[in-house]
Parts: sequence; structure tokens; C-alpha cells
Amino acid sequence: MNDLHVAVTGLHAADNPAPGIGVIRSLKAAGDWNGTIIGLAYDVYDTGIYDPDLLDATYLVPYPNQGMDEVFARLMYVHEQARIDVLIPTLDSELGLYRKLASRLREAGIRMFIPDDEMMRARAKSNLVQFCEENGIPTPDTFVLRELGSLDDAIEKIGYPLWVKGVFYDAYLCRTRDDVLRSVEKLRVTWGLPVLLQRSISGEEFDVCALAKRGELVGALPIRKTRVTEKGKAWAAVSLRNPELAELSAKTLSALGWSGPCELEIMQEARTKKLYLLEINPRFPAWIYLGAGAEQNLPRVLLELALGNEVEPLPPAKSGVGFVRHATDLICPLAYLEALTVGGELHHPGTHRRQS
Amino acid sequence: MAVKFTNDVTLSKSGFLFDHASGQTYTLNPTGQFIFRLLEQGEESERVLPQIVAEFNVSESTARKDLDDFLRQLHELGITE
Amino acid sequence: MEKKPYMKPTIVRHTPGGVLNKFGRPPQTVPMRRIEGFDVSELAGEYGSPLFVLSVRELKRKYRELDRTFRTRYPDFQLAYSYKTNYLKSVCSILHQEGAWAEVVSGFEYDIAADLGVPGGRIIFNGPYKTRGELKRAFENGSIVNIDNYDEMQVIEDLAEEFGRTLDVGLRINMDLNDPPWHKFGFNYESGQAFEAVRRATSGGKLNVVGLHMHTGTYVDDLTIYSRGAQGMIDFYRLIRDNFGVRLKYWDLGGGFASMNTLHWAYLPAEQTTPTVDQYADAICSVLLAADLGGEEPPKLFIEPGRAIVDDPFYLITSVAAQKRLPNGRRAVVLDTGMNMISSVQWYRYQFQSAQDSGTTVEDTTVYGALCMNIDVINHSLSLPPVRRGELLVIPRVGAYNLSQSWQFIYLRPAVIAIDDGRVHVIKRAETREYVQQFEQVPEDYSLPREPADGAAS
Ligand SMILES: Cc1ncc(COP(=O)(O)O)c(C=O)c1O
Repeated sequence: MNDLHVAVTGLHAADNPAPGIGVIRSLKAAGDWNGTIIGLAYDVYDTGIYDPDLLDATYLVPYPNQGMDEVFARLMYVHEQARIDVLIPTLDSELGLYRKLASRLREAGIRMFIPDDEMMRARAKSNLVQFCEENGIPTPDTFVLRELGSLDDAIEKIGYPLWVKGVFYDAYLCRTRDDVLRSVEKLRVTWGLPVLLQRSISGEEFDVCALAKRGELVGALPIRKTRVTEKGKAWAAVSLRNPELAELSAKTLSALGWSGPCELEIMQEARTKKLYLLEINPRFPAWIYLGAGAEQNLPRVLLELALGNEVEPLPPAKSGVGFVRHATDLICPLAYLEALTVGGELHHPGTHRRQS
Repeated sequence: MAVKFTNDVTLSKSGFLFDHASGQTYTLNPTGQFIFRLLEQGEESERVLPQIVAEFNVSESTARKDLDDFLRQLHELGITE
Repeated sequence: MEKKPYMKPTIVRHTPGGVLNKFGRPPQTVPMRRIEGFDVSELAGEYGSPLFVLSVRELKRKYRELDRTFRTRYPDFQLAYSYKTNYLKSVCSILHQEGAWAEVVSGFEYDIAADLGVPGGRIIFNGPYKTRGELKRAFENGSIVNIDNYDEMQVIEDLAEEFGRTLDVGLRINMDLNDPPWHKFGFNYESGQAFEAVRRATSGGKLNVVGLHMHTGTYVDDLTIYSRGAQGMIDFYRLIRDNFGVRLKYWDLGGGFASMNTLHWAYLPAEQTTPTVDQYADAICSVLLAADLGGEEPPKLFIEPGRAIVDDPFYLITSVAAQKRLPNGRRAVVLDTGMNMISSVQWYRYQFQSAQDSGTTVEDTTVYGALCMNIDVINHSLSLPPVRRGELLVIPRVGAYNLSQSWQFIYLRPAVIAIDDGRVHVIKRAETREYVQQFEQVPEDYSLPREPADGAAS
């Protein structure tokens, strides 16, 4: 890993933490790390910017909804200034855009390892039911609500309690029509339509973070969340050795022909012990750093794949390794704010910059 | 008449303005900074216009309208009294 | 000493989630000084502001792209331009020169096409309300008629009787493809209505069902609606062929293709969500061509796009009438045009570009239209550089539905010009008060006495 320059997005670790921080910490935890980390931030208050040990430089970039050319122009500026060898986008809302920019970025010398459009479409929340049906993978009943007019039909079909889910993020468990209305409206305003209504399965929730190349698993980290926040985000979890989860993951990713990282959300129904696939998120989860402790450092392996190197599948993750998430306050110098607000970039004085 | 600032404010070289009492921050463009510096030094607002015209490539009538706008904005944002 | 370049002085307050991260040059501050080589301010100076501008080159490019993409995939293909989207005569005429047929939904639109010289056989007559006279004329001219409902079917059977021959007709069908489905038009497939309609049409002996028509919605960016629609069309055709011996000459998948404007409720911009023409064509043609029709040549394929052709090639030049600060500190700008001229603001988050270099600082701004109505808001939140009264803004992609749906209100409607290969043509003059009031008359009883001109003060 000689002087590799890696750019990472998703630096905001607040109540709904983005995965970028965990990805960066995983890279730095690899024994052979000797590179430069460039943070791509969306807001001057993205929390990761203020972690003194994390980044070598931070650049603000336009939001994906500000347009492809804007984002591309900004990335080219960063590339000129700081050189990017590998870019790791970590947010769902970015992936469509980075997919579209992939060939232009590759031409400029920036490599990624992300799923292609076809795979993205198949696992999209609004298409997942169909994908699962076609491939014999169990998933809960889901209604894709594209227009508010059919809300009552949807509720009737699914029944309470049900989950109302945004196409990119956020999910609310609802027990009344009022709950549903409020949640649908909240999601619609933030992420637009469609939103999904999904049967709630009561049981145990499992997650698998996986990395695959052309449908072949390269590594997988199954966990059980042992504590969750109000939004269902893991704040403590433990790694597992579970053949059924491994089998479902392998089957799913093989059916998708998946290339890239992902997080599979899986429920085991308490009554039937049956596993249901809830979602496939096409990026690393926020808790990915656990892999560094469970002999499953997937971001590190992703670098090799992005660079086009051959990799052997990793041995199974070490089970029984836990993590807890710990919130802490960072000092936030006004000079950082000024540099980012006025100039849009920050060269972190704390980190030592290597000469190339 | 010299303008009176509501709170203690610091304008940095980059055009970043910090209001120490409210914690609010702003960005000024170079022309805005030029005017702000003069006001900060206690320059009478009537004497700012000729200095803009002397410094920048602009007609007096445009500069007058824009200055007017700018002073009103400072006031509306609660930066000046 | 050389003087420094001047920019209007600005101060922008930082707000959470505001415009803090627009680094690089925000696109709306890159001045659009020219449209197809013509200076925007000169155009506005000569033809007035607001002003609609059509790029003929872009219009032709859009048409040709659609036509070529479908034609290379499907052996017998024909595009019929949906008049309602924009029936300026020049627009229609240019598209007919390019090879488009006309898709009309009223006698008024039919007359426009006929008047331009479109042969009757190249007009497709759709819509839920066609009068007996209009239908008669359409059949006399050999136009394609797609039946919307039983009442219409009866009128056409009467006409067949009157003509003393059977008439070739198409049926409009609808399917439960989108949410909510467009059940307003035609006969429903899933409920069996469409099947009954074919039975009814063929059993009377006066009608010959030769076509199926479907149009599932507008701004449809879900490709599966087209592929599922095409599959439904095939399944239905097999059904009516086996049961009633129907032989189709055409199937018509309607319009509905999205443009590059972004809808208000969409998170991502259209450039990231609107399928390409290739993808649309694949979704439709791959399904239709895979159909097993037992050796029968696939029927002719029609599509009827409107939005996807005319939205993007039109620009609206508008000028700033005033600037304000709202009580909450937000900046607001008032334009010299309103939602009566771009009624699609109900659906679209229009983009704006300033026509002059206004610097690179942007501020979150509310953009109001000129109408004296509180609802006339063009954009609730737009990052705009500083602009002064009289300065020009350009709104790209305003060609679909705005002109045909515009209404005259408070102000007169502006001119429309076409730019074509270095030349400017006025294709519609700006309205005058005489034009707007030409059919009005004030009966004697209601006339005011006229004061003699010099007897001002009494
Ligand atoms: C029958 C028919 N065809 C075609 C169209 C054109 O639709 P679009 O402008 O979305 O392509 C319409 C529009 O409503 C229509 O009703």
C-alpha cells in the first residue's frame, strides 16, 4: 500500500452515522497502511472533519442532487490538488451518481469498486420484492407507494404493524393510519416518492456486511445487533459464525452477480425461525470497523479489488468480537470553519503530510 | 455619519465574518469586504462611495445603488444599527 | 493605476444545510450569455422580455434521436408528435418536415394539422371527446381513430352505416401499470372491459379492430411500465386474435417519456433519473419483438411523445423586476413573468441561469412570478447570484405544455422566436391588447361618457 491516496465520503457520524469514518479507521488499522486519506464532506459540520486522527485533508463537494457535472468538476479539482487513487463512496444517495461518473473517473485515474447499474436496480428497495421472488429468496410483503392515492390499499394489503421506508434511508414502525401518514409525509418531503410499506416481522435482526466480486463472496461479516438506537441503528453488536446467514448471503449476491461492498439486512422470524431478506444496501455499513477486530477488514480488501488486484476469499470472520459505539465531543476550531466555509477545503494541521 | 455596529464582529482576511455576541457567521465578497473595512474604521457612509469608485472599475450610479443595497442588508441582518 | 474589477458587494449569512458547500463554480452563476450564438440581452432588447426562444437545431436533434433509436430496433416504426404538448404551427411543421405524423386529441388540433398540410392518413385522432362531425371528417380523410368509450363506438357505428362500409378503428386500452393507473381513458384490460369492448366492436359487423392504443401517463421514468405495458399489449392481442380473429395493423404505446427537468418531489436531478432514449426503446421494442405471433409480421409500432421532444429545446428569457428581503432574512426576487406562462412550475423545479456575469457568490432565494397572486412562486429555494432589477435570467427546458396551457392574465403574453442556423424567426408575435379584446364588445348601455380631452379638471 505504498502512498495510496484514498478519498472517502460519508463523514458525518451523528445520530444516524455515515460509514465513512468506519471505513477510514479500518484502512488505518490495516498493518500495512501508509497512505493519505482525503475526506469528501458535504457540510462544514460533518463530524469526522474534526477528528484529529482521521483525515489528511478535507474538501467540500456538492451534494449529488446539485448535478453530475458539478460533482465531477469538483472531484477533478481535488484530484489535481491532492491526487485520488481510489475513491470509496459510502452513502446510498451518492451511488447512482458515482456509477454514472465511473468511466470518466477511471479515465482520470480514479478507481472505485462499486456495483453497476443493473445490480443497483435489481436490489433497489422498490424492485427487491421482484428480485426475491424470481430467485426464491424470502422477503416480507412490500408495497411500493408511488402516489399517495393508493395509501389505503397498501395499508390494507400489508396490515399493521408495518414499516414505512424511504427509498434511500429511514424507516418508521407504524401501528395506526396516522402514524403511516406522518411517516410517509416525512419521507416524501426528504427523499421523494416512492416510499415503501413493508410487513413487520417480529424476531431477531441480523446484518451481514459482505464484499463480493462478480457474485463470488470475498469476505463476509455477520453480526447481531445487541443494542440499537431509536432508529434501529447498531450501537453495540457482536460478530457471528452462522452457516444459514452465510448461505443466504452467498445465494443473494450470486443471484445479483454482485461486485462491490454491501450490507444485507436479514430478519429471523421468531415464530418460524425462517430468514427473510429485508434490504441490500450497496455500500459498507456504519459499523464496518468491527471487521478490523474480527479478522475481516473488508475496506482493506476493497482497495485491492479497486486496483484490479487478484484476491483470495478471506477465511470466515472471527466470531464473538463485539463493538460499542461511543459518542464523544471534539473541539472545533473556528479556523477550520472559516477555511471550509470560505475556501471549501482544509489541510489538517495535525496530521503529518508525506512527501511523495 | 459613521455606522454603528450592533455587536463585536471580526472580519478575517478571507472574508469570513464572525459575530462574537450571536455566534452567527457570514461570507463577504471582495467588494463587500472593502466596504466593510471602511465602515469598521469609522468611515462616514457618505464617504464610502467615492472610495469605491476610485478603487473599482464601476460607474458612480451603479456603485451608489449597490452600496445602498449593501448597507440596507447589513442593517437587515442586524449587523449594523 | 489600473482599477480593480467590480462585483456587486454581497454578504451571505451561513445557514445550516444552506449553500455553504458550493465550491467550484455553481452552475447557475456560469453566465448563459448566448443561446445558439445569439446574445441573450440583444434578443430581449429586440423582441422584449419575457421571451420564449426555440432552438430549432435542438428540436430536430431530439426528434431524430427518438426516431432513429426506435427505427433501428423495430422494423415498421412511426413517431406521431403529440400536438397538445406544444401546437405552435412552426413547431409542428418542423417536426412534420422531419417525418413525424400528428397525434391530435380534438377537432381544434386536427384542424391545425390539416391546415399545415398533413395528409389525413398521417393523423392519429385520440382523446375522450370527439364530436360526430370531427369523427366523420377523420374517417373521410383516412385518419387513424382510436376509440375511447362505448358512446363514441356507437357514433362511429352510425357513421359506418352512413358511409355504407365497415370502418377500421383502434381501441384505447388501459392497464394497471402505474399508481394510480390512468383509468380515465379507454377500456381496462385487467377487469375484462377491454376484451368486452373488442367483442362488442367486432360483433356489430360495422367496425374492424385494427389497432390498440395505450398511453399510461406522462413523465414516466419507470422503464418497467413500458415493458410491462408492451407485454400486456401482446397478451391482449393474442387473446383477441384467438377469440375474435382480430388482425392488428398497428399498436401504439403512446408518449410519456421524461425530459431533463426535475420534478419537485424527486430527490435526484433528472440527469440521474431520466432514462436514455436507448433504454426506453429497449424496454418497448425488446418485449414487442420477442412476441410469438405465430409467423405474423409484427404490426406497425407508433409512439406519441410530446414532452421528450419539445421540453428541452425551448428557453424562457425573463428579467428581474425587483429584489426583496423577506422578514426572515431570506432574499426574494420578483420576475417579469409568472406561472401563467410556465404552468409546469407546479411539477418542475426549474433551473435558472443568469445571462450576465454576476459573480460566484450564491444565496438561497425565493423566486416569485409577476402575478398579483400569492401562489405565484416559481421556486421556493433557488441558489442565485446577486442580480439587479432589469438583469436577465434564462430558464432552460420550458417547451412542453407551457405554451399550449398558458393563460392570459394581467399581462400580455410574450413573443416566441425560433433560432435556426444563425437566423432568428418570430414564430409568434407578442400579444397586443387589441388581440386579446378583439371579440369583446361593450353594449351601448354600458358605455361610459367620454370627457372631452381638454376638460380635465372640473
Ligand atoms: C394520448 C396521448 N398521447 C401522447 C401524449 C403525450 O405525452 P408526453 O408529452 O408525456 O409524451 C399524451 C399526453 O397527455 C396523450 O394524452
